[in-house]
Order: sequence, then structure tokens, then C-alpha cells
Amino acid sequence: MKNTLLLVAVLLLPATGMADSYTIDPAHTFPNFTINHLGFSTLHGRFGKTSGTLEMDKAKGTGSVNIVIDTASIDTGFSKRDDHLRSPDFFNAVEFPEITFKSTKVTFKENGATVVGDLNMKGVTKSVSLNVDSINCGVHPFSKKDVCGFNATTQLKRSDFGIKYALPAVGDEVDLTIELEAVKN
Amino acid sequence: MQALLTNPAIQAALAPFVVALLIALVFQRISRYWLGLAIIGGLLTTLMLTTGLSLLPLSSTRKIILGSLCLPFTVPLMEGLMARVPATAKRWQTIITILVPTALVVVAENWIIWPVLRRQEIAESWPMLLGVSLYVCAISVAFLLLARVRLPEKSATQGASAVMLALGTGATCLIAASALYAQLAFAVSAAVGSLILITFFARSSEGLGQMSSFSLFAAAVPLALLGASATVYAQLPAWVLLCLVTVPLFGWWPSINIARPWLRLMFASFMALLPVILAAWIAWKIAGPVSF
Repeated sequence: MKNTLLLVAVLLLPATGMADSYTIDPAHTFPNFTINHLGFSTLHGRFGKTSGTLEMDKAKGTGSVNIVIDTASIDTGFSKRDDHLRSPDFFNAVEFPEITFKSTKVTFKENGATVVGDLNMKGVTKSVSLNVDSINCGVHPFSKKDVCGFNATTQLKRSDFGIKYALPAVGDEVDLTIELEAVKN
Repeated sequence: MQALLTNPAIQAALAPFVVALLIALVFQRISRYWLGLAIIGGLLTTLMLTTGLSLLPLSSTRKIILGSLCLPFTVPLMEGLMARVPATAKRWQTIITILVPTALVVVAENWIIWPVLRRQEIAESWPMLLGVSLYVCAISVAFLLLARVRLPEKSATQGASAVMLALGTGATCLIAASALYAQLAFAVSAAVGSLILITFFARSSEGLGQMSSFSLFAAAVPLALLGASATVYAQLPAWVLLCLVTVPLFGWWPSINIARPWLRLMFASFMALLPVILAAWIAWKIAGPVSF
């Protein structure tokens, strides 16, 4: 009887839940941004190298996200502009090689979530709120591993992070979208 | 008005020139030694119009600004202290008055590039450390020595060297993809230009372009820090610094025996422009054309 109870308890242990841990897939995770350029058009850009971790426990309604972005991996499709963006005028990628986001609170909604966390960019840390429309999890058809992915969006002001060069000609408000996929550990 | 103040030419040239000229007009009557405050005023004007005066967080650019605002005052401080030293130690007075401010500029540059140095092994970072230290040292010493020139026919070299080094630093930083560094350097050029204008109208017996040690050092410090830092934080090739470091020398040589002061100044400027053209060409060849 005791052994039966112990067996049941062990089998039930995963369901009572430790959070699932994921490692961000750098090949399928890209922070993208858009910004107004001189009032003429919207400039698109992205960061090509991202890493980090994700934890989720939907049953308990908890989770965390840690994202590390390689500042120098910025790509707007024009190398001289990318050099300028890496320079001290904007991101100063040599002095600040990483942009980081560490969540402080995750609130799950019907299908998505709101992720509040600290965004550190160019030596300045500000709290931002990422809106996640839907969290999509499943088994990858080729690797057969558990994968979760989502798109997180927010809007921020670059001047809040000390990136003030060329204001207001180049817009202050930046629309940020992080398209993220993570593989379960 | 807002559109005017966001114009890069206004930010980097006209505004600092006007502010520097106003400050210079005031100090022209009080003390010509302190005309260098006009250069600091010009620099502050451009900074205010571009990124603002906030010093926090203390990034490398803000460290450059802090150094440029504070370090020039080490020259009058050392000169004042050395004036109390007995006359027999005059040679040591000169050496210490040049060495101490120069050493502080070298320390400042190392402080500016510290975020990069601390991430690298010493075996990897020593060439960069040596290169930037030698450059800021050479520029500081060159201008402090130039400040000791008192012959009217040589005075043109002071103003010409400062203007041309500022233009060269600005142009090469622009090519190296840092418009902010370029604007700050051009602001120094505009401010020095205003001082030269003051000496022209004042018809000083010391000559057109004559600047005090404080003024020359106030110009040298930001230019040295900007040029050296651009090789670390922007795309400025190190070879460019080898050309820019010769600007004070080209302004000095040959001995200028031209009667008219403004012609003498133009000739010295032309001579000092030669290494600037070479520096800009090297930067263009290596870093590529400018595009913002």
C-alpha cells in the first residue's frame, strides 16, 4: 500500500509542476524595430544575434524571460548606416556590446501574456512592458523537440535610453517586436 | 527656430562660433589669457544642441566632454603653482607645466577606453593602449610647446594648427561614421576661429593667431580625446592619427617670413592642411564613403 502511494506521488510530481525551461533558438529569434526617418518613411532594422532563456509554468501562471542581444549585430540593410548606428552617436556597440531584457513579472492572459521587465540599453535600464498575443507551443516536426514561440511587441522612446542623436529628425518612438522561439531543455 | 537649431551646420559651426565670439569679446577686455573659455563655451553649445548636457550615465562620450571641460584648467593651475618656484628652477617649471597636464590627458584617455580595456587581455590591448596614449600625449605636448612661441611671425602657427587639427579630426571622424564626434571637433574649429578673429581686430602686437597656453590646451584636449577615442569606438583607422599628429609640426615649418599677418596665417593654415588632406584620404580609402 505504501509503495503504491509512493509510486502515485512520484508519477504525479511533474504535474504539480516545476516550470519548463527553454533555451532561446538564436536562428529563429530576432528583435526587430521600426523608426521614423526624417518624416519620409519608416526605417526597418533588426538585431541578428540573440541568446537567452525562457521559463514557463502555465499551471501556476509564472514565467521568466532573459534575452541578451548582441548590439553589434544590428542590420538595417545598409552597411554604412549600420556602422553609424554602432558608433557613439547611437548604440555605441563597442562600449555597450549587449542589450539585455530581464523579466520581472509575467502575467498570462487567455492565450498570450504581458511581460514586464528591465530593458538595459547603452548603460540605461528602464522598465518596459512586452505584449505577447499568443504563445504557441508544440513539437518541432524535424527535431522532435518541444518548442515554444511568440511575438512580443512594445513601443519605447530611444531618448529614454540616452540615444538622443538626430532628434527629432530621426524619430524618438521606436516600435520593437521580438520574434522568439525557444527549445525546451 | 527648432528646425534651425537641429541643423547640423548650425549646431557644429554657427552656434559655437557665435557663443565663442561673445565670450571672447568679454574676456578680451578682462584677460586675454582666459580667452580659452570661449572654446569651452563653444563646445558646450554644440553639446547642448546635439545630445544635451546630462553626464549620466557616464558613457565614453560623456567622459570625453568631462575631460574637455576640466583638463584645460590644469595648465593655469600648474603655471600658477610653478610661478611660486624659485627662478633657478625655471627649466623644471617648463617641464612640469607641460608634463603634468599631458599626463592627466593620457590618464583621461585610458579612463575613456577603460570599458574596452577591461574586456581584453593585456597582450591583446597593449597596441591600442600605447597608440591612443602616444597620440594624446603628442598632441598635448605639441600645443603646449606651441604656446611658448612669442615671435609675431610664428604666432600664426598657433591658430592655424588648432583650426586645422580640429577640421581634420572632424572630417576624419565624419568619415569614420561618428557624426557626433565630428560635430564636437568642428565646434572647436569654429571657436578657435572666433579667437583668431578677435586677435585680427584687436591688432595685437603678438600677432594674428596668437593664443595663450590655456586657450591652446583648451583646443588640444577635446581634439586629442576625440581623435584617439574614434579609433576605439568608431571606425577611424589608426593610420589617420599618424597624419593628424603632424599638423602642429606642419604649421610650424617652414619659418614664415611674410609681412602681412593674415597672409602669414593663411600660409600656415595651408601648410597645416596638408597632413589633414592625407588623413582624410586615408580614412576615406579604409572606412569608405560617408553615408548617413
